[in-house]
Amino acid sequence: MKQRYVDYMKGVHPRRAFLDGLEAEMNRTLQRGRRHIPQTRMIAAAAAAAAAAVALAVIGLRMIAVRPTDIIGQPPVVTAASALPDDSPLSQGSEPERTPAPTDACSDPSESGALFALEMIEEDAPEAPAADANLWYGCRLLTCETLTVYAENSTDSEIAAILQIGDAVWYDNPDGPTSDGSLQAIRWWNGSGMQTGWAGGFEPSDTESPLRALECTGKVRAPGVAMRYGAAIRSPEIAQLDEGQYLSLYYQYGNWVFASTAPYDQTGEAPDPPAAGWIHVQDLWGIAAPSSEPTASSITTADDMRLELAFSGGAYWTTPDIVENSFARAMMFEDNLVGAHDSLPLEIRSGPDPDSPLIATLLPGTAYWLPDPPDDLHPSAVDSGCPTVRWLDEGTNELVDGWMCVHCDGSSGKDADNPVEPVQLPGRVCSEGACLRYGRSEDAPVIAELEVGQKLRLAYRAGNWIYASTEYFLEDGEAAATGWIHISEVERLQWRTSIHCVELLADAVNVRDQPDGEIVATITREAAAQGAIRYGGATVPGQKGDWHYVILDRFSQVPVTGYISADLAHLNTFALGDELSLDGVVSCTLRYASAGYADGRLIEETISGERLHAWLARLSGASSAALDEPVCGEGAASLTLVWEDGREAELPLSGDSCTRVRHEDVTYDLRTPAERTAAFLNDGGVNLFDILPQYFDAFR
Amino acid sequence: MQLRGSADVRRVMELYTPLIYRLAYARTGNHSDAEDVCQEVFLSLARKNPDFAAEENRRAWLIRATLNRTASLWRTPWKRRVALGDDSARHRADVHPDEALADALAALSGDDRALIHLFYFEGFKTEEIATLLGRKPATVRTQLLRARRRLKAQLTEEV
Repeated sequence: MKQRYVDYMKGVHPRRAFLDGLEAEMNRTLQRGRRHIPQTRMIAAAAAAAAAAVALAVIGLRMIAVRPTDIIGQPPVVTAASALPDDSPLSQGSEPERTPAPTDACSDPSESGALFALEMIEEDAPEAPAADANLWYGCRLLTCETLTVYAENSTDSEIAAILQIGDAVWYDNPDGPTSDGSLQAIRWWNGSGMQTGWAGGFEPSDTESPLRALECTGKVRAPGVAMRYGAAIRSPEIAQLDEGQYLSLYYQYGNWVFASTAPYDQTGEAPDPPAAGWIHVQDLWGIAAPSSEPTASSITTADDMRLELAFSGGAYWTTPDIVENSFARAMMFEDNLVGAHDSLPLEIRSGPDPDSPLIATLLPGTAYWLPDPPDDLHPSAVDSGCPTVRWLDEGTNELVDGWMCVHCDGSSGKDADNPVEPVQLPGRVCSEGACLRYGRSEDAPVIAELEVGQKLRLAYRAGNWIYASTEYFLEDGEAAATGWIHISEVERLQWRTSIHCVELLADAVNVRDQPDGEIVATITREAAAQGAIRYGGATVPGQKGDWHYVILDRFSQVPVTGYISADLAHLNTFALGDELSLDGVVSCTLRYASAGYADGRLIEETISGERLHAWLARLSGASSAALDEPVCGEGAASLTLVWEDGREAELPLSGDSCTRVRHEDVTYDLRTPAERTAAFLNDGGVNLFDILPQYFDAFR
Repeated sequence: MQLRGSADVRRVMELYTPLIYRLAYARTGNHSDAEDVCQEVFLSLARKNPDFAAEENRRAWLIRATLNRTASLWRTPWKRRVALGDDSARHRADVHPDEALADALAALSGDDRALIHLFYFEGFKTEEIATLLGRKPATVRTQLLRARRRLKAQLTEEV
């Protein structure tokens, strides 16, 4: 296999023209010294790119007709509409015109890269057929491996050159180059000047060409990006584009894209007149949807840790090696980083100064870009700068720029005493004028204004600020808003008035897909008593009475939802004390809503204070918990909980309700002041963070 | 050992262009990207013009830069999941008679191809590859073994 591979690779070699062009460019670069050249600018897709110059690598299509008569004495006019297919939006309506690069841009080809074609065609034009003497058409060779060019109009004449795939030629036949093998006058660029000769038999419009139709929208990534006549960095500029400008993308050839500044749907605003030309892909954001505006919908992480940036018309995948490492590792990549940090929230400021206003916080898993990454590959080099960062604001579907501190660890120095901690609780707005903000500051821009009573998902807490989202509590059509809210403006949602346990009044009750609808399941009273069914948060009228919307968590592999008749069920609202409201969530979620012995056995194990503390501190926000002396076989008599604000509550624990056996698990029951039974498994099998999302659904 | 003139440029290019270009091709799978990467690497060399203590250092620098550039290439937002596959297939058919091997290679990841290339074609030892890639030798050996297995499996499927 090794020898086979070696033989295979021996056939891979760069084109001579490419190497010639590269060597010349290296010499020029060396002479200029260590002059900075933007990294994202490839000098050319190939040396053929140099040859491509003005050619407008448009295969089979007469992309642009250059009129030498226009060149003399006045700026030439290049028609772009002819470059597009008939059904292209650009080819409809008035024919756009554009003005090429200023003539002084061509004064020093070696420096500016703007060259020749416009001039050379005029100066060196060979004798062309009289009918179209003024017209030359450019194309790029795509399908033939080599094209032999003869010095004279005869195959017996001296061979002037052998052109290869990617090289550009100009020809004079408006119907395209001849494909029958007969020779025709052509011109090509050999890296130092326009040459003339004769060739035939090339078919630039072959369907095997790598010219790909795109039909999508793009966005300019940086200011001053050049749109060029040809698919080459040395080709003259047609226009300088603004950062963020939307483009309609029509074709891709290698690393070049043929684009127009006219909006794809012809409805948005476009520069007047619109320009069309070639842009290097590194200067573009690609947006898959054929729309004048991007409509990003989500950023998700795949199983293999790739990030998918989904848009309405498609999706982009980032490469996996970025996501697996943390922010520091991500900083090592020098170019065009699409990354996602998986450590702590990343704070973004409006400027490079660490004291600049905070404008956003990117949470773990958020994808972001470094449009201008550090120049050095070594990770230590990133310590010397504050790179800009760009991310997709899901609230506005806009790409937003900001600055991140290279030492950012989620606290950004001044907030070091307030590390960001996960909260994962439901909340409710309790103050007039509350709003979600980009950052943890009253000066931070407002993302969304909230109303008193509006429900939120509280995700993180940092000092006196809570990172919250409305995502679980949206009406249809509402967009989610996520941001920081001051802790004084939000309170933890009290579940006690919302959570119900369902008690069935018949031995078995049918669950229907709709009120008075088809049966989808049948639930027994015993199963309901063990928590197999829960109230879904809605009661709707039917033909013969009300129906409760219910959720069967354990009916099958996936939860089943449906409706049961209110006549056959009773909702037991949890009437716990205020202090234990969140315990109510747990006890309702737990599978055992009844007290007593299951099989008469006594459990000779008692719950420990530490374990209860760990449980209850998370469940109810208690800062400490203490059991009185437990009695083996009977459990403790009471439990004292202490909250952060100093409140205390004592829970009486009745001995006859403290044990329950189910399979091999031991369940501890707590009797609360409201005589409801709370229970949890001794193996830690029930976790608030696991079960809460189910309950958010009930509030949607 | 800095570049001091056009003679140095030519010598370095003659020495390393095949290595860099083929490595870039192995990693990216198509000529357009390979040319871009090759060009970026050499122009970066000319811009920075590092003073290498020995020729070996220059070679290591070029290889490392090539791997970095190819990695950067795939991080561009443009590279969608249906990137340049058609393009690379066309080039392969033009250049290589061994289409089965070309197809099998195309089915591998860029990392796998780079490992195989450095090991098979350039003749690096696993320890040298590990140094170049910043990985442990044992990791490289394992990855190389898997890459070769995958390649073999692909070739078997082709048959």
